[in-house]
Amino acid sequence: MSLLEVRNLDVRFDTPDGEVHAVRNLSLELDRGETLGVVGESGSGKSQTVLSLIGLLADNGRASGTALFDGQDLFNLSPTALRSIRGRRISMIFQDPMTSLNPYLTVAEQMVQVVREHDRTTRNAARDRCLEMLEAVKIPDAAARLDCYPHELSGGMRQRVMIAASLLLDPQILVADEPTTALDVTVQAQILELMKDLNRRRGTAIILITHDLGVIAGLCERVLVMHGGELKEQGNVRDVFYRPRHAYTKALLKAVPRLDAEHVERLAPAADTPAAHAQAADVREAVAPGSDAQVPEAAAPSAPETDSSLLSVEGLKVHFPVRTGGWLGGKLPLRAVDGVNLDLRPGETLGIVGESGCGKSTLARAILRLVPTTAGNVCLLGQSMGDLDKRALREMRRDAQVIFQDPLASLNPRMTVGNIVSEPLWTHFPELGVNEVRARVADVLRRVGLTGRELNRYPHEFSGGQCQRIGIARALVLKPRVIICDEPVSALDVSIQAQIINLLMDLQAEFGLALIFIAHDLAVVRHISHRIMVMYLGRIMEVASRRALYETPRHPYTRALISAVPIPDPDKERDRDRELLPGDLPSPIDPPSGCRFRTRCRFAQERCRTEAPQLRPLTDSLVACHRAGEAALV
Amino acid sequence: MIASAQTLQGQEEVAGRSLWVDAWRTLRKNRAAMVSGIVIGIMGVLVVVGPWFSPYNYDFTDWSNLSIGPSLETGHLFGTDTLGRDLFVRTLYGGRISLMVGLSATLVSLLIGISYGAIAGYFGGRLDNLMMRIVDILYAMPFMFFVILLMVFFGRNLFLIFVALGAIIWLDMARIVRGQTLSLKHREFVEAARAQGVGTFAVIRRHIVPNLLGVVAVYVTLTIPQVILMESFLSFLGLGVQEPMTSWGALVKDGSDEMQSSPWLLLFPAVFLAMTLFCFNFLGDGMRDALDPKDR
Repeated sequence: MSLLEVRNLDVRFDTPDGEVHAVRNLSLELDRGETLGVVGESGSGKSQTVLSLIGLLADNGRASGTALFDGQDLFNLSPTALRSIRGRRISMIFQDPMTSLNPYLTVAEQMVQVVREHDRTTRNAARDRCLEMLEAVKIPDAAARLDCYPHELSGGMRQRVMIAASLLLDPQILVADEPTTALDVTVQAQILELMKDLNRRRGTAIILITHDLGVIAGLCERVLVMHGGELKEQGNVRDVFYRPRHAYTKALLKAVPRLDAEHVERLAPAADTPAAHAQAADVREAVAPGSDAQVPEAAAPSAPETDSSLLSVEGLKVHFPVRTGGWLGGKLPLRAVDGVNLDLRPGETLGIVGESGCGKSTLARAILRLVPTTAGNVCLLGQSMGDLDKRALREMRRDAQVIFQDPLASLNPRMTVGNIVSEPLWTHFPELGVNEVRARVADVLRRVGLTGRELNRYPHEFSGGQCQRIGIARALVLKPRVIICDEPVSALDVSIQAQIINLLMDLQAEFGLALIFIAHDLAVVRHISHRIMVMYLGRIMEVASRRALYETPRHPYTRALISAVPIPDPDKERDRDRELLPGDLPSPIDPPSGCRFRTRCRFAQERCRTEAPQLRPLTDSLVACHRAGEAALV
Repeated sequence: MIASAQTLQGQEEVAGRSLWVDAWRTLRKNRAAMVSGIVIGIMGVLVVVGPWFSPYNYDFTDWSNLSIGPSLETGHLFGTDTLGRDLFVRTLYGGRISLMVGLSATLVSLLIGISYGAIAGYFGGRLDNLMMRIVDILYAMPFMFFVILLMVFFGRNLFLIFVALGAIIWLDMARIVRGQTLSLKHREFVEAARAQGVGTFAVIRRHIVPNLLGVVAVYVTLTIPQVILMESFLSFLGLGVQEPMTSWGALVKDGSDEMQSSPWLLLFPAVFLAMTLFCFNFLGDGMRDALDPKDR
């Protein structure tokens, strides 16, 4: 008999707008020690399915059906009995390790509390067990970590603590709801490795909920594909990935840019896209299916061969003073960007990748003069932005625009879409009449795949993908030469992500835009960029063309990054030789001497400690590494 | 929300929508807020117009009717106090003073507080430090000392009370607005506006201030009662309005002295005061909801 057997599960929510049917008639089984992946986009009901099983639905939610766990029906248990199952036999870890740990308690206090809630042991015995568990999840220097507060730990370390805490009582099922979504790829690889290991050694069954097909491919034996609250397909991981039967699964697999496949010109967005709340979103997104039907032939990447550089950055440094030692303490510089050179040609896309905290976003803001620069120079269209006065700077801003990560947060909630997109026109062309502005705004909205009739609506009435289109329209309305995209798709579902990427590439072809595309997702960057720059702790590690970077990465950091990206292909993913990057990003307040990467580099030598490597050409690439090109690294 | 989104798609509005038009539309649907608004309106008209229709003046002593209860035949609708003055007229006159103090001090706090706080918060750095230290210094000045000082220099006068209250009340508003601005200015839509080259004051006006309104609306509804109560405290100490002129605070205080012998002296002004404060609270709640586009 299987460990968990769910039959005809329905989850409904009563909302002021009527009933929302979040999960419809879902059945699933889980064996002992099995790893089950649940994949779906936001609003597909994947989280609600699991929350309903352990009785953690929101107050307005109701679950019906049967859920047999070891012969007991979870829906008919008393709250006390359910509580003893929850935590002890089924435990859960969540997406954001910061918000699921109590910031006022030390690691030991939180973990001991869990043990003593279920077992009568002494405080010391419980503490010993916690220490043992922290060691099991491979936290370095575990004994010292016990008395840390959550904010003193890095994101990856916090997620390890969460996993350790959830394993304290040796549960039979570990439910992980997007456990690595908030983490960098390098840290994600560590955490996934850890979960795989725990499953093997302890025989804990794992239910992994995620939107990332690559993560599923690497970890799970069986897969459930959900969409709009319904189970679309389930089966062995290899069957689902290699022989998907349901159209939605096929579409989902095609919508993801992949590191392993040949480069494709266009992504295929899944046709009907679920977004926020199951029903409403479909309606909304269907209104604007985007311009994906008519494909301009061979639109994208063949980098135009012109020498004139549109944007050039020389020796750019951005240091933020950080107060140390309290009120009267001194100030130390946080070197967010520490000497970056780049140039951008018209019509080109430059991708910038790196872990969070490596200075990508600060670089973008410094180029746009949104943060003051400490040293260096930015030239746009041959004019140095450093010596411009206020008026001239405002003029220049017309040519360089920006798109942000969080589509909703980048739109003023108190302004209508029409006003949001009109604002750049008001600023730069105050002489335009109301009708002319309105016409231009409607036109640009149509150009980004909206209807042009959204003028009087507010941002929150739109889905994430549509908000991002509005953001793009705002950037485009001034007809800029350069658009800096700061993680423009990382907050979006894969199918919508594909639509937005296609849109950006179309617009680039049409208007000859130059793009700087910042992202942490290497597969997406590979898809859209002509050239790619890898950053680490404020410095450039490697710059190369797309092909050179992914086929022959020269820098050890680039190689580790690429190797950490999960590939949505079970066989390839399992056979891969991973170069796991140990530890976390060092603090940019006190970066390592010499080569910044040396503390995590397998190939570091004495020279790396004393001498900072400069960018030097190596076949097709520019690399900042003393040892790049040596035989040992290949 | 879903329903509203659909109707909007359906009717395809052509007319522009603005924050205030939309807010008004939402506010009209909020019955408690609308009733409160109407009550406040009636109260306002009543305290201005009411005294003209009463046969008595606020300082007229009716020697034949000292301390009588409410009665229709004498024309003293709310009765009279121990000095034989008509309570109805006095309540309305008191209302004039109380509402005027409440509204004008709040207006001052809105104007100075919002612009001061938004500028300090948005520019940050040294300017912020300087501006907020000035606020701290003003805070540190004892309020009573400040009022007494004003009285000594300029003599007792109603206008000074407005000045004194306004000078104190805007400090809180400035602090609240500054805090909100600090968190708003790093939001992405503000950065987007700056990247477009929108001027500094346009950013503050279009992006910062409208997003502060929710907090401000609530705070204003707390301020008005607070100011009315502060005024009555001043009156109680003999620093506020002077006899025979009066305010709600003063009337309540006088009434509470005679509570056992003539309860109506407390009852009528207290009901007026409480009702007004209630209504301002409901109206403020309604305004906050109406100004938040997410609730539409």
